Amino acid sequence: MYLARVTGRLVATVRYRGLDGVKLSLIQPLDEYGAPDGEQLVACATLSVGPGDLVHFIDGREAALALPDETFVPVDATITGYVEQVYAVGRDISEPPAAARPNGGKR
Amino acid sequence: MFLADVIGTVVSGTVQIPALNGRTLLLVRPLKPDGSPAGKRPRIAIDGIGAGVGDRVLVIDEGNSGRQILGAHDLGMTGPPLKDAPVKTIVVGYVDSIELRGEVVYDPATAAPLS
Repeated sequence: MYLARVTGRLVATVRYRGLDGVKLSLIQPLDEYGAPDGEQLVACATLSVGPGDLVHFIDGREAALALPDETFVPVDATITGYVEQVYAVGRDISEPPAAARPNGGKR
Repeated sequence: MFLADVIGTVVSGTVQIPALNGRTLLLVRPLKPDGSPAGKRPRIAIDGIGAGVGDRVLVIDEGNSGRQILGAHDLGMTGPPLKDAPVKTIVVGYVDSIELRGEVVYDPATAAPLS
């Protein structure tokens, strides 16, 4: 699993069977300083998380297993949990600078 | 499996997939054999051995192996065993020493603190 911040939501009406009702989020993976690392991804979001939230996500085959109903679907990233706090080398990296948050941190 | 330093803890409350309930999540930094950072994105791993921040550990990153471990309960893990659980990154070993090309490159007693 990796650490990421939710940056937005995505709507796709026409999609593969088995994926109906699965919400999609845009997420930005983070490094050990809480800074963006690499490209943003689209991930399935079965939990109630929204833009600005810190989350962890799983990739690969397990991403489909993390869905509640249909688990044989073409999915390669799924949000697995909401992160309340994360420490790295003694630093709390949970809170980004307000300027770095989407919409200034507003939902 | 890969070598990593445990650099932190992840506190995830009740908003998470059920497979993770009751399990400890650790933030780990993948390393090269000589102990320098591998330059990869940090991973969040399920603790399988009671590791803590500062420990150098062995991490498995394969789903079937991970599910076997969680199902077996032989590593003293808490939480329910889960078939087809969406888990794959698990701390499975504590590193006591590393010898690379005839030279001891890691010894927990003399290792430098995390930075």
